[in-house]
Amino acid sequence: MRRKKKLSTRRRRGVRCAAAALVLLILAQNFLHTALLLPIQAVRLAEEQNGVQDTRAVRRQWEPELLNGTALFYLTASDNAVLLTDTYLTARGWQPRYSGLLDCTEDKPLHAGERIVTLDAGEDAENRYYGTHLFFYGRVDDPAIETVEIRLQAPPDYETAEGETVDQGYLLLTAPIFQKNGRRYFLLDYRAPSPDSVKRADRIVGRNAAGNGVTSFQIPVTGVNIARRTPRGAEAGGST
Amino acid sequence: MNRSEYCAQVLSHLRRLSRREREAVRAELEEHMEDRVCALLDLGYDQSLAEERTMAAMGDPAQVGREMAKQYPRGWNVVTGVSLVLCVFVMFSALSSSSNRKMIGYAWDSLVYRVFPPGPETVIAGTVSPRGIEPVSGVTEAVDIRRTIGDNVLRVYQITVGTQDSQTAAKTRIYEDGYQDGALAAEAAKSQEEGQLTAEAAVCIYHKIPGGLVAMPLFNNLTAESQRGDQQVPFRRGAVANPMMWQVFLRSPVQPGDDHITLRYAWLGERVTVDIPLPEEGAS
Repeated sequence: MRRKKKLSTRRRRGVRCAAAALVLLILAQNFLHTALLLPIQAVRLAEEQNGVQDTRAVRRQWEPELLNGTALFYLTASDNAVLLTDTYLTARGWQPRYSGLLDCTEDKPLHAGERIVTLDAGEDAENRYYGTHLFFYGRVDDPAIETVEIRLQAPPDYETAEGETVDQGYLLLTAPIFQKNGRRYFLLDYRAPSPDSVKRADRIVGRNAAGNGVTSFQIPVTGVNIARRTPRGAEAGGST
Repeated sequence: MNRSEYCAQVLSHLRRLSRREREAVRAELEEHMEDRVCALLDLGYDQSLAEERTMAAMGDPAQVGREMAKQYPRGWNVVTGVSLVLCVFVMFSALSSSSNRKMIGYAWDSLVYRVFPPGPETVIAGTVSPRGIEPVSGVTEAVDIRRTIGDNVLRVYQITVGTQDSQTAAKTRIYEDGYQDGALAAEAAKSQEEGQLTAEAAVCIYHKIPGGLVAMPLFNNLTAESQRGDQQVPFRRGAVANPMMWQVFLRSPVQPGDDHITLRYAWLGERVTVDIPLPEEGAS
Protein backbone atom coordinates (compact mmCIF):
# COMPACT_ATOMS: atom_id res chain seq x y z
CA MET A 1 0.00 0.00 0.00
CA ARG A 2 1.33 3.40 -0.95
CA ARG A 3 1.77 5.56 2.08
CA LYS A 4 0.11 8.93 1.79
CA LYS A 5 2.54 11.78 2.14
CA LYS A 6 1.58 14.11 4.94
CA LEU A 7 1.20 17.68 3.76
CA SER A 8 2.78 20.16 6.11
CA THR A 9 0.43 22.86 7.24
CA ARG A 10 1.11 26.54 6.77
CA ARG A 11 1.70 26.89 10.45
CA ARG A 12 4.19 24.06 10.60
CA ARG A 13 6.06 25.39 7.57
CA GLY A 14 6.08 28.91 9.00
CA VAL A 15 7.41 27.74 12.35
CA ARG A 16 10.13 25.66 10.68
CA CYS A 17 11.25 28.51 8.42
CA ALA A 18 11.24 30.99 11.30
CA ALA A 19 13.26 28.61 13.47
CA ALA A 20 15.80 28.03 10.68
CA ALA A 21 16.13 31.78 10.06
CA LEU A 22 16.60 32.43 13.76
CA VAL A 23 19.30 29.77 14.10
CA LEU A 24 21.15 31.09 11.03
CA LEU A 25 20.88 34.65 12.33
CA ILE A 26 22.23 33.73 15.76
CA LEU A 27 25.13 31.78 14.25
CA ALA A 28 26.00 34.57 11.81
CA GLN A 29 25.79 37.28 14.46
CA ASN A 30 27.64 35.34 17.14
CA PHE A 31 30.40 33.69 15.11
CA LEU A 32 30.79 35.91 12.07
CA HIS A 33 29.69 39.20 13.63
CA THR A 34 27.70 40.06 10.55
CA ALA A 35 24.02 40.33 9.58
CA LEU A 36 23.43 42.80 12.38
CA LEU A 37 19.88 44.02 12.06
CA LEU A 38 20.10 46.96 14.45
CA PRO A 39 22.74 49.71 14.71
CA ILE A 40 22.94 49.22 18.46
CA GLN A 41 24.18 45.66 17.83
CA ALA A 42 27.10 47.14 15.89
CA VAL A 43 27.77 49.52 18.78
CA ARG A 44 27.79 46.61 21.24
CA LEU A 45 30.30 44.82 19.02
CA ALA A 46 32.60 47.85 19.08
CA GLU A 47 32.24 48.05 22.86
CA GLU A 48 33.15 44.39 23.19
CA GLN A 49 36.36 45.01 21.29
CA ASN A 50 37.14 48.03 23.44
CA GLY A 51 36.62 46.10 26.65
CA VAL A 52 33.76 48.32 27.80
CA GLN A 53 30.81 46.79 29.57
CA ASP A 54 27.40 47.73 30.94
CA THR A 55 26.90 50.78 28.78
CA ARG A 56 23.71 52.58 27.94
CA ALA A 57 22.97 54.61 24.86
CA VAL A 58 23.05 58.25 25.83
CA ARG A 59 22.46 59.90 22.47
CA ARG A 60 22.10 58.93 18.85
CA GLN A 61 22.93 61.25 16.02
CA TRP A 62 22.34 60.73 12.34
CA GLU A 63 24.89 62.28 9.98
CA PRO A 64 23.30 62.32 6.55
CA GLU A 65 26.41 63.72 4.90
CA LEU A 66 28.59 60.75 5.78
CA LEU A 67 28.60 57.27 4.23
CA ASN A 68 25.70 57.71 1.84
CA GLY A 69 23.44 58.98 4.52
CA THR A 70 23.52 55.90 6.72
CA ALA A 71 26.05 57.00 9.33
CA LEU A 72 24.64 56.83 12.84
CA PHE A 73 26.78 58.05 15.72
CA TYR A 74 26.08 56.60 19.12
CA LEU A 75 27.21 58.08 22.37
CA THR A 76 27.17 55.31 24.95
CA ALA A 77 28.40 55.42 28.50
CA SER A 78 29.10 53.29 31.53
CA ASP A 79 30.28 54.47 34.95
CA ASN A 80 33.90 54.28 33.79
CA ALA A 81 33.85 55.19 30.12
CA VAL A 82 32.17 57.19 27.40
CA LEU A 83 32.28 55.88 23.86
CA LEU A 84 31.43 57.55 20.58
CA THR A 85 30.89 54.90 17.92
CA ASP A 86 29.77 55.35 14.36
CA THR A 87 27.87 52.66 12.54
CA TYR A 88 26.72 52.41 8.97
CA LEU A 89 24.35 50.30 6.96
CA THR A 90 25.55 47.98 4.22
CA ALA A 91 23.99 45.18 2.23
CA ARG A 92 25.39 42.89 4.93
CA GLY A 93 23.60 44.71 7.74
CA TRP A 94 24.83 47.30 10.22
CA GLN A 95 28.54 47.49 10.84
CA PRO A 96 30.62 49.45 13.32
CA ARG A 97 33.38 51.73 12.06
CA TYR A 98 35.37 53.62 14.65
CA SER A 99 35.06 54.13 18.35
CA GLY A 100 36.51 56.93 20.39
CA LEU A 101 36.94 55.79 23.96
CA LEU A 102 37.10 58.15 26.89
CA ASP A 103 38.44 56.75 30.14
CA CYS A 104 36.46 58.35 32.97
CA THR A 105 38.01 56.48 35.88
CA GLU A 106 40.12 59.47 36.90
CA ASP A 107 38.50 61.91 39.26
CA LYS A 108 38.24 64.94 37.00
CA PRO A 109 35.58 67.65 36.79
CA LEU A 110 35.27 67.21 33.05
CA HIS A 111 36.11 64.41 30.64
CA ALA A 112 36.26 65.28 26.96
CA GLY A 113 37.35 63.78 23.67
CA GLU A 114 37.43 64.78 20.04
CA ARG A 115 36.68 62.63 17.01
CA ILE A 116 37.88 63.96 13.68
CA VAL A 117 36.33 62.78 10.43
CA THR A 118 37.97 64.11 7.30
CA LEU A 119 35.58 64.29 4.38
CA ASP A 120 36.88 62.72 1.20
CA ALA A 121 35.14 63.36 -2.09
CA GLY A 122 37.16 60.68 -3.88
CA GLU A 123 40.31 60.52 -5.97
CA ASP A 124 38.75 62.10 -9.02
CA ALA A 125 37.33 65.08 -7.21
CA GLU A 126 38.97 68.44 -7.79
CA ASN A 127 38.79 69.30 -4.10
CA ARG A 128 39.32 65.85 -2.63
CA TYR A 129 39.52 66.57 1.11
CA TYR A 130 36.87 69.19 1.25
CA GLY A 131 36.24 69.51 4.95
CA THR A 132 36.33 68.05 8.42
CA HIS A 133 33.58 66.90 10.67
CA LEU A 134 34.51 67.36 14.32
CA PHE A 135 32.75 65.69 17.20
CA PHE A 136 33.30 66.89 20.75
CA TYR A 137 31.89 64.69 23.44
CA GLY A 138 32.33 63.88 27.07
CA ARG A 139 30.98 63.80 30.58
CA VAL A 140 30.63 66.61 33.11
CA ASP A 141 31.26 65.33 36.64
CA ASP A 142 31.58 68.62 38.53
CA PRO A 143 28.13 69.95 39.40
CA ALA A 144 29.56 73.48 39.48
CA ILE A 145 30.10 73.39 35.72
CA GLU A 146 27.12 74.95 34.00
CA THR A 147 28.45 75.47 30.50
CA VAL A 148 31.02 73.72 28.34
CA GLU A 149 32.89 75.95 25.95
CA ILE A 150 34.88 74.52 23.07
CA ARG A 151 37.73 76.69 21.85
CA LEU A 152 38.34 75.62 18.30
CA GLN A 153 41.56 76.48 16.50
CA ALA A 154 40.59 78.84 13.71
CA PRO A 155 42.83 79.63 10.74
CA PRO A 156 44.12 83.26 10.66
CA ASP A 157 41.98 84.10 7.64
CA TYR A 158 38.84 82.63 9.15
CA GLU A 159 35.75 84.69 8.36
CA THR A 160 33.27 84.59 11.20
CA ALA A 161 29.71 83.82 10.32
CA GLU A 162 26.75 85.41 12.05
CA GLY A 163 26.58 84.45 15.71
CA GLU A 164 30.16 83.15 15.83
CA THR A 165 32.86 84.59 18.07
CA VAL A 166 36.59 84.31 17.58
CA ASP A 167 38.79 85.00 20.58
CA GLN A 168 42.59 84.98 20.31
CA GLY A 169 42.57 82.67 17.33
CA TYR A 170 39.96 80.35 18.77
CA LEU A 171 36.44 79.99 17.52
CA LEU A 172 34.15 79.73 20.54
CA LEU A 173 31.43 77.11 20.54
CA THR A 174 29.12 76.16 23.36
CA ALA A 175 28.29 72.50 23.80
CA PRO A 176 24.82 71.84 25.19
CA ILE A 177 24.84 69.73 28.35
CA PHE A 178 22.15 67.14 28.77
CA GLN A 179 21.36 64.73 31.56
CA LYS A 180 20.88 61.01 31.14
CA ASN A 181 20.84 58.19 33.68
CA GLY A 182 21.83 60.57 36.45
CA ARG A 183 24.94 61.93 34.72
CA ARG A 184 25.59 64.95 32.54
CA TYR A 185 27.02 64.60 29.03
CA PHE A 186 27.64 66.74 26.01
CA LEU A 187 27.94 66.05 22.31
CA LEU A 188 28.66 68.72 19.77
CA ASP A 189 29.48 68.33 16.11
CA TYR A 190 30.99 71.02 13.96
CA ARG A 191 31.67 71.06 10.27
CA ALA A 192 35.01 72.77 9.65
CA PRO A 193 35.65 73.87 6.08
CA SER A 194 39.33 72.93 6.03
CA PRO A 195 40.74 69.41 6.32
CA ASP A 196 43.60 70.32 8.72
CA SER A 197 42.53 67.64 11.10
CA VAL A 198 45.63 65.88 12.33
CA LYS A 199 47.42 68.62 14.23
CA ARG A 200 44.45 70.11 15.97
CA ALA A 201 44.87 71.55 19.43
CA ASP A 202 41.35 72.49 20.42
CA ARG A 203 40.63 73.32 24.00
CA ILE A 204 37.70 72.92 26.34
CA VAL A 205 36.66 75.15 29.20
CA GLY A 206 34.12 74.20 31.86
CA ARG A 207 32.50 77.30 33.28
CA ASN A 208 30.39 77.80 36.40
CA ALA A 209 27.19 79.83 36.64
CA ALA A 210 29.16 83.05 37.03
CA GLY A 211 31.05 82.35 33.81
CA ASN A 212 34.36 81.63 35.55
CA GLY A 213 36.49 78.79 34.29
CA VAL A 214 36.45 75.73 36.55
CA THR A 215 38.72 73.63 34.38
CA SER A 216 40.44 73.97 31.03
CA PHE A 217 42.57 71.60 29.00
CA GLN A 218 43.45 70.60 25.48
CA ILE A 219 40.95 68.08 24.19
CA PRO A 220 42.58 64.72 23.47
CA VAL A 221 41.87 63.37 20.02
CA THR A 222 40.33 59.92 20.45
CA GLY A 223 40.08 59.05 16.79
CA VAL A 224 40.88 60.27 13.30
CA ASN A 225 39.45 58.74 10.18
CA ILE A 226 38.44 59.56 6.65
CA ALA A 227 34.89 59.18 5.42
CA ARG A 228 34.49 58.70 1.72
CA ARG A 229 31.51 60.21 0.10
CA THR A 230 30.75 57.72 -2.62
CA PRO A 231 28.36 58.50 -5.44
CA ARG A 232 24.68 58.05 -4.78
CA GLY A 233 23.53 54.47 -5.23
CA ALA A 234 26.91 52.87 -4.57
CA GLU A 235 27.54 50.81 -1.47
CA ALA A 236 28.50 52.74 1.63
CA GLY A 237 32.23 53.25 1.51
CA GLY A 238 34.74 52.46 4.17
CA SER A 239 37.64 54.51 5.20
CA THR A 240 41.33 54.53 4.89
CA MET B 1 -23.77 18.91 -10.64
CA ASN B 2 -21.18 16.16 -10.69
CA ARG B 3 -18.27 15.68 -8.28
CA SER B 4 -15.68 17.61 -10.23
CA GLU B 5 -18.03 20.56 -10.69
CA TYR B 6 -18.72 20.55 -6.96
CA CYS B 7 -15.02 20.54 -6.18
CA ALA B 8 -14.39 23.35 -8.65
CA GLN B 9 -17.07 25.49 -7.03
CA VAL B 10 -15.66 24.89 -3.55
CA LEU B 11 -12.13 25.69 -4.72
CA SER B 12 -13.27 28.90 -6.41
CA HIS B 13 -13.85 30.30 -2.92
CA LEU B 14 -10.41 29.34 -1.73
CA ARG B 15 -7.99 32.02 -2.77
CA ARG B 16 -4.27 32.38 -2.06
CA LEU B 17 -3.82 28.63 -1.92
CA SER B 18 -0.71 27.04 -3.29
CA ARG B 19 -1.03 24.43 -6.02
CA ARG B 20 -0.26 21.66 -3.55
CA GLU B 21 -2.81 22.91 -1.06
CA ARG B 22 -5.43 23.16 -3.81
CA GLU B 23 -4.75 19.57 -4.89
CA ALA B 24 -4.93 18.39 -1.30
CA VAL B 25 -8.34 20.02 -0.80
CA ARG B 26 -9.61 18.54 -4.05
CA ALA B 27 -8.38 15.06 -3.09
CA GLU B 28 -9.94 15.35 0.36
CA LEU B 29 -13.32 16.34 -1.04
CA GLU B 30 -13.30 13.64 -3.72
CA GLU B 31 -12.29 11.00 -1.20
CA HIS B 32 -15.08 12.06 1.08
CA MET B 33 -17.63 11.93 -1.73
CA GLU B 34 -16.31 8.58 -2.93
CA ASP B 35 -16.73 7.08 0.55
CA ARG B 36 -20.29 8.33 0.74
CA VAL B 37 -21.21 7.04 -2.72
CA CYS B 38 -19.73 3.64 -1.89
CA ALA B 39 -21.70 3.49 1.34
CA LEU B 40 -24.92 4.26 -0.51
CA LEU B 41 -24.13 1.70 -3.20
CA ASP B 42 -23.62 -0.87 -0.47
CA LEU B 43 -27.08 -0.04 0.83
CA GLY B 44 -28.54 -0.84 -2.58
CA TYR B 45 -28.77 2.59 -4.16
CA ASP B 46 -28.06 2.78 -7.85
CA GLN B 47 -25.14 4.87 -9.09
CA SER B 48 -27.01 8.00 -10.19
CA LEU B 49 -29.13 8.18 -7.08
CA ALA B 50 -26.11 7.64 -4.88
CA GLU B 51 -24.31 10.50 -6.65
CA GLU B 52 -27.33 12.78 -6.30
CA ARG B 53 -27.78 12.04 -2.60
CA THR B 54 -24.10 12.56 -1.98
CA MET B 55 -24.10 15.96 -3.66
CA ALA B 56 -27.12 16.98 -1.62
CA ALA B 57 -25.46 15.83 1.59
CA MET B 58 -22.27 17.76 0.88
CA GLY B 59 -24.13 21.06 1.19
CA ASP B 60 -23.81 24.42 -0.53
CA PRO B 61 -20.37 24.56 -2.22
CA ALA B 62 -20.08 28.31 -1.66
CA GLN B 63 -20.61 27.94 2.08
CA VAL B 64 -18.25 24.97 2.27
CA GLY B 65 -15.64 27.00 0.36
CA ARG B 66 -15.95 29.97 2.71
CA GLU B 67 -15.66 27.76 5.79
CA MET B 68 -12.63 25.97 4.38
CA ALA B 69 -10.97 29.29 3.54
CA LYS B 70 -10.87 30.05 7.26
CA GLN B 71 -8.60 27.05 7.70
CA TYR B 72 -5.94 28.70 5.57
CA PRO B 73 -4.97 31.92 7.36
CA ARG B 74 -2.58 34.20 5.49
CA GLY B 75 -0.41 35.10 8.49
CA TRP B 76 1.71 31.96 8.44
CA ASN B 77 2.51 32.47 4.77
CA VAL B 78 3.82 35.93 5.67
CA VAL B 79 5.94 34.36 8.44
CA THR B 80 7.35 31.87 5.94
CA GLY B 81 8.11 34.59 3.39
CA VAL B 82 9.82 36.88 5.89
CA SER B 83 11.84 33.95 7.26
CA LEU B 84 13.02 32.98 3.79
CA VAL B 85 14.06 36.57 3.03
CA LEU B 86 15.94 36.64 6.34
CA CYS B 87 17.68 33.36 5.50
CA VAL B 88 18.81 34.72 2.14
CA PHE B 89 20.06 37.92 3.77
CA VAL B 90 22.02 36.01 6.42
CA MET B 91 23.57 33.67 3.87
CA PHE B 92 24.56 36.59 1.65
CA SER B 93 25.93 38.50 4.60
CA ALA B 94 27.91 35.50 5.80
CA LEU B 95 29.36 34.35 2.50
CA SER B 96 29.79 37.52 0.46
CA SER B 97 32.85 38.70 2.34
CA SER B 98 36.16 36.85 2.47
CA SER B 99 36.78 38.08 6.01
CA ASN B 100 33.54 36.44 7.10
CA ARG B 101 34.66 33.16 5.61
CA LYS B 102 37.91 33.45 7.58
CA MET B 103 35.88 34.05 10.73
CA ILE B 104 34.51 30.52 10.46
CA GLY B 105 38.08 29.22 10.81
CA TYR B 106 38.78 31.60 13.68
CA ALA B 107 35.65 30.43 15.49
CA TRP B 108 36.68 26.82 15.08
CA ASP B 109 40.21 27.51 16.34
CA SER B 110 38.84 29.38 19.31
CA LEU B 111 36.67 26.40 20.22
CA VAL B 112 39.48 23.88 19.89
CA TYR B 113 42.21 25.96 21.54
CA ARG B 114 40.18 26.76 24.61
CA VAL B 115 40.20 23.02 25.38
CA PHE B 116 43.58 22.10 23.89
CA PRO B 117 45.79 25.20 23.87
CA PRO B 118 48.64 24.93 21.38
CA GLY B 119 52.29 24.80 22.29
CA PRO B 120 54.57 27.83 21.93
CA GLU B 121 56.05 26.54 18.67
CA THR B 122 52.60 26.40 17.04
CA VAL B 123 51.72 29.89 18.16
CA ILE B 124 55.04 31.36 17.15
CA ALA B 125 54.69 29.75 13.73
CA GLY B 126 51.38 31.57 13.30
CA THR B 127 52.63 34.90 14.62
CA VAL B 128 52.56 37.60 11.99
CA SER B 129 55.58 39.61 13.09
CA PRO B 130 58.37 39.53 14.03
CA ARG B 131 59.64 36.29 12.61
CA GLY B 132 62.20 34.05 14.20
CA ILE B 133 61.07 34.29 17.81
CA GLU B 134 62.23 31.34 19.85
CA PRO B 135 60.45 30.16 22.99
CA VAL B 136 62.33 30.21 26.27
CA SER B 137 64.18 26.94 26.64
CA GLY B 138 64.29 25.42 30.09
CA VAL B 139 62.00 23.73 32.57
CA THR B 140 58.37 23.73 31.50
CA GLU B 141 55.37 22.99 33.67
CA ALA B 142 51.71 22.77 32.67
CA VAL B 143 49.41 24.87 34.81
CA ASP B 144 45.73 25.71 34.60
CA ILE B 145 44.98 29.09 36.08
CA ARG B 146 41.84 30.87 34.88
CA ARG B 147 40.51 34.34 35.64
CA THR B 148 37.44 36.02 34.27
CA ILE B 149 38.17 39.54 33.09
CA GLY B 150 35.05 41.30 31.95
CA ASP B 151 33.49 39.06 29.33
CA ASN B 152 36.77 37.30 28.66
CA VAL B 153 38.63 34.43 30.25
CA LEU B 154 42.37 34.55 30.76
CA ARG B 155 43.92 31.11 31.00
CA VAL B 156 47.54 30.49 31.89
CA TYR B 157 48.37 27.04 30.63
CA GLN B 158 52.14 26.77 30.71
CA ILE B 159 55.06 28.30 32.55
CA THR B 160 58.66 27.92 31.48
CA VAL B 161 61.81 29.03 33.25
CA GLY B 162 65.05 29.08 31.38
CA THR B 163 67.20 31.25 29.22
CA GLN B 164 66.00 33.09 26.19
CA ASP B 165 67.62 33.18 22.85
CA SER B 166 69.58 36.43 22.55
CA GLN B 167 68.37 36.97 19.01
CA THR B 168 64.79 36.66 20.17
CA ALA B 169 65.38 39.19 22.90
CA ALA B 170 66.88 41.55 20.37
CA LYS B 171 64.04 41.09 17.91
CA THR B 172 61.37 41.74 20.48
CA ARG B 173 63.21 44.89 21.47
CA ILE B 174 63.29 45.97 17.88
CA TYR B 175 59.61 45.33 17.56
CA GLU B 176 58.56 47.07 20.73
CA ASP B 177 60.78 50.11 20.35
CA GLY B 178 60.00 50.65 16.70
CA TYR B 179 61.91 49.50 13.65
CA GLN B 180 63.69 52.78 13.10
CA ASP B 181 65.73 52.32 16.29
CA GLY B 182 66.06 48.62 15.81
CA ALA B 183 69.82 48.38 15.50
CA LEU B 184 70.51 50.31 18.67
CA ALA B 185 67.84 48.43 20.56
CA ALA B 186 69.21 45.11 19.40
CA GLU B 187 72.67 45.94 20.73
CA ALA B 188 71.26 47.08 24.05
CA ALA B 189 69.11 43.99 24.39
CA LYS B 190 71.92 41.63 23.54
CA SER B 191 74.15 42.83 26.32
CA GLN B 192 71.38 43.04 28.89
CA GLU B 193 69.39 39.92 28.29
CA GLU B 194 71.70 37.28 26.94
CA GLY B 195 71.81 34.42 29.43
CA GLN B 196 69.26 36.10 31.68
CA LEU B 197 67.10 33.64 33.59
CA THR B 198 63.60 34.26 32.25
CA ALA B 199 60.11 33.04 33.02
CA GLU B 200 57.69 32.77 30.13
CA ALA B 201 53.98 32.38 30.77
CA ALA B 202 51.88 31.00 27.93
CA VAL B 203 48.47 32.57 28.13
CA CYS B 204 45.36 32.26 26.03
CA ILE B 205 42.50 34.72 26.15
CA TYR B 206 39.03 33.97 24.87
CA HIS B 207 35.49 35.23 25.21
CA LYS B 208 33.20 33.50 27.68
CA ILE B 209 30.75 32.85 24.87
CA PRO B 210 32.32 30.92 21.98
CA GLY B 211 32.58 33.18 18.96
CA GLY B 212 32.80 36.40 20.97
CA LEU B 213 35.58 38.87 20.23
CA VAL B 214 38.40 39.34 22.70
CA ALA B 215 38.75 42.88 24.06
CA MET B 216 41.80 44.66 22.61
CA PRO B 217 42.95 46.08 25.97
CA LEU B 218 43.52 42.55 27.21
CA PHE B 219 46.33 42.23 24.73
CA ASN B 220 47.77 45.69 25.22
CA ASN B 221 47.44 46.08 28.98
CA LEU B 222 48.52 42.67 30.22
CA THR B 223 52.00 42.60 31.69
CA ALA B 224 54.18 40.13 33.57
CA GLU B 225 56.59 41.06 36.31
CA SER B 226 58.89 39.32 38.72
CA GLN B 227 58.65 39.36 42.51
CA ARG B 228 60.82 42.48 42.48
CA GLY B 229 58.67 44.20 39.92
CA ASP B 230 61.08 43.64 37.00
CA GLN B 231 59.59 43.41 33.54
CA GLN B 232 61.07 42.57 30.22
CA VAL B 233 59.80 45.79 28.81
CA PRO B 234 57.32 44.65 27.49
CA PHE B 235 57.52 41.25 25.92
CA ARG B 236 54.27 40.32 24.32
CA ARG B 237 53.87 37.90 21.49
CA GLY B 238 50.65 36.46 20.30
CA ALA B 239 48.79 35.08 17.36
CA VAL B 240 46.76 38.24 17.00
CA ALA B 241 45.40 37.21 13.62
CA ASN B 242 42.52 35.49 15.39
CA PRO B 243 40.27 38.06 17.05
CA MET B 244 38.39 35.37 18.98
CA MET B 245 41.35 33.69 20.65
CA TRP B 246 44.70 35.10 21.49
CA GLN B 247 47.72 33.21 22.65
CA VAL B 248 50.11 35.54 24.36
CA PHE B 249 53.55 34.89 25.80
CA LEU B 250 54.64 37.14 28.58
CA ARG B 251 58.21 37.13 29.79
CA SER B 252 59.73 38.39 32.96
CA PRO B 253 63.33 38.23 34.16
CA VAL B 254 63.61 36.09 37.29
CA GLN B 255 66.34 35.25 39.75
CA PRO B 256 67.25 31.98 41.48
CA GLY B 257 64.96 31.51 44.47
CA ASP B 258 61.95 33.25 42.93
CA ASP B 259 58.79 31.24 43.39
CA HIS B 260 56.32 33.10 41.21
CA ILE B 261 55.76 35.80 38.64
CA THR B 262 52.72 38.06 38.51
CA LEU B 263 50.46 38.95 35.64
CA ARG B 264 48.83 42.34 35.93
CA TYR B 265 45.98 43.83 34.03
CA ALA B 266 44.36 47.23 34.52
CA TRP B 267 41.70 48.77 32.34
CA LEU B 268 38.89 51.21 33.07
CA GLY B 269 39.13 50.76 36.81
CA GLU B 270 39.30 46.97 36.67
CA ARG B 271 42.48 45.54 38.16
CA VAL B 272 43.41 41.89 37.99
CA THR B 273 46.48 40.24 39.47
CA VAL B 274 47.41 36.63 38.83
CA ASP B 275 50.32 34.93 40.58
CA ILE B 276 51.85 32.08 38.61
CA PRO B 277 54.01 29.68 40.59
CA LEU B 278 57.32 28.87 38.93
CA PRO B 279 58.52 25.30 38.49
CA GLU B 280 60.71 24.52 41.49
CA GLU B 281 63.36 22.92 39.40
CA GLY B 282 63.68 25.84 37.02
CA ALA B 283 63.99 28.69 39.51
CA SER B 284 66.48 27.05 41.81
